[in-house]
Amino acid sequence: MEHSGLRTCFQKLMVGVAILVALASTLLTGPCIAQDEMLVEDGPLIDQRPFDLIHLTDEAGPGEFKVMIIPFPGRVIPKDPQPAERIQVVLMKFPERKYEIAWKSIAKIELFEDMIMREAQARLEEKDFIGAFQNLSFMMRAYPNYPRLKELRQDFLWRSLTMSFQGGQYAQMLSALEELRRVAPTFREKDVMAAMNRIARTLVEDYEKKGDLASAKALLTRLMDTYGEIDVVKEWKQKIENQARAKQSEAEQFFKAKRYRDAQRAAAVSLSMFPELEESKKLLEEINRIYPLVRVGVMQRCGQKIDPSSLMDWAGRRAGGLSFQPLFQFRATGNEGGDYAFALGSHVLSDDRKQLILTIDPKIQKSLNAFGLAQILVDKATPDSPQYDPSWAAIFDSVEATGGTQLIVNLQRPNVLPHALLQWTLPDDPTLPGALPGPYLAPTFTENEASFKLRPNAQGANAQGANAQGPNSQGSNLPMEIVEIFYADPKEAINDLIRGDIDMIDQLYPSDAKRLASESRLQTMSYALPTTHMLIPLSEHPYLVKEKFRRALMYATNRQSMLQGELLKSSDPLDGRLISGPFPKGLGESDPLAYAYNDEIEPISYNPQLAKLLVLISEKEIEAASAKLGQPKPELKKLVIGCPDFEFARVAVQAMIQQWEIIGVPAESKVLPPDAPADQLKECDLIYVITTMWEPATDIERLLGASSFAVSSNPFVVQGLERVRAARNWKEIRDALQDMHRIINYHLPLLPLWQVTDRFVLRKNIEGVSKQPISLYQSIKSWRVKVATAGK
Amino acid sequence: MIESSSIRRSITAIGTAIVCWCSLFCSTSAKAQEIKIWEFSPYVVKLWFNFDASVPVSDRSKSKLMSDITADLERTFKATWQIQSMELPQQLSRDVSRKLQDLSIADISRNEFVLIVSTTQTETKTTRTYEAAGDAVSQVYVSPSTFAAITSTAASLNLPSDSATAKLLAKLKVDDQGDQSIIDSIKGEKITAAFIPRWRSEGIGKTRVLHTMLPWQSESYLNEHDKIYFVNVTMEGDEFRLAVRELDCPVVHLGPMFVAGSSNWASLPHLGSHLLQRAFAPVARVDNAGTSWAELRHKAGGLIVDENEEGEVNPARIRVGDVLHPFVRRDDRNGVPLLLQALTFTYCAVTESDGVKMRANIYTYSGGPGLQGKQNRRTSRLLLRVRPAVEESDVKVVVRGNTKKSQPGCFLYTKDFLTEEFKFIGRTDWRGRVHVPMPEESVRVLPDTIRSQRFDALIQAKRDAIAQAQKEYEALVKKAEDEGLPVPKPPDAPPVVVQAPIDPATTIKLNNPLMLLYIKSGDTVLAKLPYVPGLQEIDTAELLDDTLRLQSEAIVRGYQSEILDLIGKRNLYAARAKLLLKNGKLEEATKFVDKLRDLPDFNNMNDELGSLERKILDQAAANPPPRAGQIQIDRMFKSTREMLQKYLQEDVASAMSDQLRKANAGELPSGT
Repeated sequence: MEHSGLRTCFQKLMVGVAILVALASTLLTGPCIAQDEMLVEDGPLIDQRPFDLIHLTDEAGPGEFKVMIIPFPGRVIPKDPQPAERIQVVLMKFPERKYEIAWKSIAKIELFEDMIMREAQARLEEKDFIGAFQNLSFMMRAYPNYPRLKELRQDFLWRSLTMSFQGGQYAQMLSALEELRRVAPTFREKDVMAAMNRIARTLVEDYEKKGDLASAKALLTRLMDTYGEIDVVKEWKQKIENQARAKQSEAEQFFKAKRYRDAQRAAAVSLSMFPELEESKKLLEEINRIYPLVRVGVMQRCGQKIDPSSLMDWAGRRAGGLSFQPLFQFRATGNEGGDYAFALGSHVLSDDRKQLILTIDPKIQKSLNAFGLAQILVDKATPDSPQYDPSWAAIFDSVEATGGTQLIVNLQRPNVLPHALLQWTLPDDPTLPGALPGPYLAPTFTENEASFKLRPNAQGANAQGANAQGPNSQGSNLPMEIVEIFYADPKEAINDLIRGDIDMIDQLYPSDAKRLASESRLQTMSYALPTTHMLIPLSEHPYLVKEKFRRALMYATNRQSMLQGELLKSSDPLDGRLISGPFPKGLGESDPLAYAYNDEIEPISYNPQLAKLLVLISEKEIEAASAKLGQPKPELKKLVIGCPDFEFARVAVQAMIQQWEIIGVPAESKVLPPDAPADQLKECDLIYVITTMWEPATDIERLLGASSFAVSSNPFVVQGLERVRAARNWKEIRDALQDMHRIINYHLPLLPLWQVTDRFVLRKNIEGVSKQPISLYQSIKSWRVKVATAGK
Repeated sequence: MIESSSIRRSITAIGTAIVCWCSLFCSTSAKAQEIKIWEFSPYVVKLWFNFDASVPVSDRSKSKLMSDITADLERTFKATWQIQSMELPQQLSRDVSRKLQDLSIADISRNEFVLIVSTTQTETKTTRTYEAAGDAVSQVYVSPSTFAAITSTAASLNLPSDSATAKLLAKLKVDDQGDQSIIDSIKGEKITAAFIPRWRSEGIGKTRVLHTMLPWQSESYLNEHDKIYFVNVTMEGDEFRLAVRELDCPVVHLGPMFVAGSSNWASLPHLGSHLLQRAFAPVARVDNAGTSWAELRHKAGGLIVDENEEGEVNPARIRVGDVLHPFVRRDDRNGVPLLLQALTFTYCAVTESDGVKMRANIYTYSGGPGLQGKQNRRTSRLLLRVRPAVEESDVKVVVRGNTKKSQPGCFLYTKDFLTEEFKFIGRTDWRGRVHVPMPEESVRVLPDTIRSQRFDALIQAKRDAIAQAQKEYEALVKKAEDEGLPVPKPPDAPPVVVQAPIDPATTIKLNNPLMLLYIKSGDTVLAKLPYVPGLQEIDTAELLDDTLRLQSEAIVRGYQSEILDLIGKRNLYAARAKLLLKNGKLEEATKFVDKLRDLPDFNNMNDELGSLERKILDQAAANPPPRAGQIQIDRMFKSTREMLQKYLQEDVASAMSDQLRKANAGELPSGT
């Protein structure tokens, strides 16, 4: 029986090889898959290698030849050359040889630049403005001194305006008008300026209708800086001031009604509209003094379940830091595992790594004492307990409370990081025994907002007597409330940030971060540690359970192009890089974060043809297995990819769906809400997961172990996890994790994608935010809100 | 109806006569007790009641409860039970009160006394039995405390003067120095025999521990009874609670505990009787057995004479569909058990019964013992009906020889007895445990005779089909040869034979949830275990350590996937390069030939495989796997190396480079 299992596996593999060899050639003789190797035929003129065209006379044998650019002085064709004279040319077809042609044999020579200009004119006539623009751009770059170029360009700009206006492309039209005015200030001066006023007015009205005052203001400011107080600027300056004053008045009303959150928002908007409005400034100062509030734009919204130690829920981890204080908290990476803080005091691991000694600091006022903590440790290791944590149970042996302040936790065997498994969230209600609350109350939710109010009598709150119910005019400016506002569209969040509607954004694309870095009132920062992204198969989809099929999906995904292109718009490895396993690659081998990463394993490369082959092999194998059971072959149903409600993930999943379609694997995405219930997860075949895997030694168990929703049934992974658990020292840990990396790369219980360094941005009026935090609110107790500064 | 009732009356009369005859026979001749007719011997049952001090009832009420339960059981079991009920002896009371659930035979006998005799002194050199010791020894030494305990208990029993115990008691001599002094004396050959506590009897040189038949001790009462029941009565809040456990005496096996409670004392007799019926395991004996079947004989089966289809079934009856658990007992020539063994993961399902003789299917694990073996007076194979007592069971998979080491990540499946389909149950967790749920539907099996017939018929049908196919092929060949046509190829696969579906009427519905568990680790089936969930909370399966083999499988299978991908890439690039060469696109073809060259070749792959194998070998050297595992590891690497040789030895990159060079030199005309 044992041998037959092995034999069957090997036979399957050999059948796979045979199919593969047979299919490889047939696949290539059939319709090919589009790939970068596809041959490119002659393209548009401007994309071709420059050439001149010689037309021969009828006597010389009619015809035309493409020749390499002829070095006429000043690129002017001689007017009356001697018929017997010859010129040297190099045919494009035979670049290694030179030919001589007598002028008498030449009927006409067309220069390359003339041909392009003619084509540009023709395109302009045909109203192909894009084509014409491309030719003109080429000419401006390659032949800037071409005689009729300037005129043609002005003509192009003016004629294209009509088309833009008809198409409602006002922004492009204004841009063309400004360009026209820049290159030809005297060209129909009055008409151009009138048109500019008209278009700008339309644009500003449009922005106003959309509520995008920041863009309206930016446009008007730019027009004023460039052209002075033109009509449209005059009209709108007054209008905006009036609106700002109305908003200011609204803010005053809110303030009087003690609706500080609304007052702050209205005042900030007012100030953003009219930065010189002193009343708004003063009101904001007053609000910040009484009720400091921070509005955070978030790209992923948190749900009811928030956990500061969450591995797979970015938003939950972020928000959890406000309401909870985990028993142990990861603070930074170190040479041998992470640096952890024990919420109740200090901790030491014995030399033989078989005992964890926890010392409770009596100065830390918590409702949890040594005996209470001992009970929690025991409950977590008891299979019948509702608090059961299998990962902890697997290493825990016993606990001794020596007095009221010290616990000796005995482990079943040496373990290098037992405390990393104690990143538990305990109740946040300080009235309950064993509670470890954070500085803020649990969130309350409205449609797109989650509000965290400062916990009454929170440590470090606004001096004595501070509470969330009422204002406090004393002490520091620790925010009384944090409001998280969810944005599905990052652009909208950036607009609101510039406008002053929000104070910070928790996640940014690198390209946006670079753009915002130049904003003087903003500060962009990056998180200390990268996130790792992966797809985890969840279902029993008959194809997805096959290893070859999962490998096909990997080969079919052009991860490099996706990451550097539409996702990051950056090729800097510091922004993001591909990974071949679930562990972070860090910034290189010397990065302590990368201790689990096996550098010998390269990420699977993009190869859609091999992917297609593997899909075909999988189909054959499934067909054979079904036939053996006398059942019909299961159809390849659409894969459902669960995706967090986060633009980065949504874009990535959409790109993957398109790429998988090329190899005949249909898929669709399903956007999952925060705290997606189990039945929603069950509907997904794969789920896009963003992990904060900063302690691989224990996080891999949290990712694939028994307590995870993504628990792996793969026996090799289960055995690998056991090896990691049983490791007694750092060498064994590294070996076990690097072997685990290899096993995951071989068998793909998860599909590794990339690691990404996330960035965030804040207005400079928020002070005390630590540089390179691991989570946004890591230093929340040091945050101070200064007087709000308005957007430009 | 009249006929059947008259037949019943006749049988009842015969049965009663046999019982009377047996009783008479038993009472008139002590020696005749040795000759018992299995199917006509009633179960000799003792009910031991233990009343916790917290039970607030009078002694009279307690006595009444005992007598009521006894009477009810006598009515229920009729002639099949011969019951004696009494209060639990004092020395057992504490253990039964405190931990009936976990009570073991060692607990019961821990505080008992054993008779030890010198093996070097003439007086006792040849003494091997308790009976013989009564005559052979001149003095039996005891400590003062032992003397007090033995004499006081014996005094209450009114022992016959010619009994061995009475003879030995008459020779007691007290050594005031205590047990250690007695042990030293017997070792020093100063004395020949002594009673000492059992826990002191281990490891004393030059002595023999006799099977001590003091009438109040376990060895005696186990010998005299078939079943002993511990009935523990306690209070829990306002409720009376009854807990019952069976001790099967011949196989010395304690069954599961059954518990029930009531706040009404008056309902306890009924409750107690019900619990005792549940705790009772009827017994069968193996008369004859093959590898997959057994012929059994029902203990006291001949005494069950008053059943009818409408009436209640005697609970002593083993019915068709019952699942039995086998035990082996081997005695020495003096009837002292040398081997008492429960056959783990081995069960029988009764498929036929005439009330006394039965036939059963045997289910055992791969390489399991079955029920065949030496049949003689001193070796008996007995079967007890299973009684699931818990609702949920876990199977724990550990390493054979190192039970502390669990085997996590094993997959458990059940296989249907009829359809032979597998169903996934679960995966062992970090403790090596997996939960085995009760089957949702009744389990059905085919009697072994029918199963064998179907199997034989299938084999014959396959042979016939192959013969027929061969005949047809030969006819085709002959025809082709006659017509001068090419000889046709022989068929690739043997003809498919579809077996007739199983007639449901021939199947047997089991009364207990017997399952066939398959435990897989990676691609390997570690064990096939017949299993009845609900007998214990955790059943431990000790299996070969599969750690290193599984680790090797993980690596080898992954590596084989890499080879597969590599073969795919090689073929794709080579095919593309050929296509481009054919179309005269040399520049493009060069790109693909370069890609081919960049791929790992046979040597690279072989080196990598060698390095992976060395890593495994290092681990095997430090912690050798079982031999079977090592053989599989070697085989996996060997087959992978063969795969490399078969598919990667050809240097495709060089061949394509040659073609490209020729094409560049114009030696390869376009279109080739």
